[in-house]
Amino acid sequence: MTLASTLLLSTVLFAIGLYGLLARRNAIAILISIELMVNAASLNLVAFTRFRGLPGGQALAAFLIALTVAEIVVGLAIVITLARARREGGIDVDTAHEYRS
Amino acid sequence: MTTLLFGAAAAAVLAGALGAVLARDLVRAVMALGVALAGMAGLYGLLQAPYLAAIQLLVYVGGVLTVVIFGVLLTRRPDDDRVTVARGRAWPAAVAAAAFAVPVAIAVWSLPSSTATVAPESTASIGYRFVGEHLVAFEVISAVLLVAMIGAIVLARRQDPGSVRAERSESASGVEARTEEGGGRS
Repeated sequence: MTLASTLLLSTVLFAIGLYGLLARRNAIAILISIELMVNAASLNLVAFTRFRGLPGGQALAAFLIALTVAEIVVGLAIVITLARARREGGIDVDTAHEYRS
Repeated sequence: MTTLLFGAAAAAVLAGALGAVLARDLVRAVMALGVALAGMAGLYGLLQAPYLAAIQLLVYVGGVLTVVIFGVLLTRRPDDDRVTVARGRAWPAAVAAAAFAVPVAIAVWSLPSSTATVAPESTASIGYRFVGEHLVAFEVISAVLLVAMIGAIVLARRQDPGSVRAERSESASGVEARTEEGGGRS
């Protein structure tokens, strides 16, 4: 377990999240992908704190977690509003603009 | 031993992430996300960050996952169990992800592979950082959380469509036509 292996893991995790962000259509699935990407960033912070002594890295990671929670809450509220407005089908971000009013 | 645990946690994180991104059923995707987040908590523990490991389990696995599951179940309709990956977009997305990952992975792998570590920061020290050097950020985060909570309530509140329409036409008569159209949709 070295800095390189941890950073490699977080790179792969971020790439998986990026794939989901680009390929998915369902809004909740996109939120899940964003979760993965934020976790990859947070893993980087903790890894640099552990191996390079980044000052305050863990505190930054905690801030990151709090911000992500706020983002998820607002995102889900938007998704629920969208789901209420639609007539049929999934919460498809490709057609979400049709509900603009 | 640490290497073994790291491998196990990394495998859990990667398997969970892949499941979360590829699963067709959203409930399964959320469960896979839970596996990935729990694996992340294990990684934090291995990286001598027990405070973050606890926060990760409490906030993500305990809180966010529950909320997302609620979101999935509240917005799902019987006809929704279809492919959630867009047709014809999977390959470009995979190429984009690879285009990001490969150069970064090469750069990361060329880092000097020293196992030198720094003394772990104690939880008390993190707490002092919160109310010391990061005090402003700490307070801003509290405000952001409050705003997010109020915003989520305002957004997701089930409004009485009649009263909203009346309100809108009162405030501006010019938007009446648009409001009518919007009402017909909902």
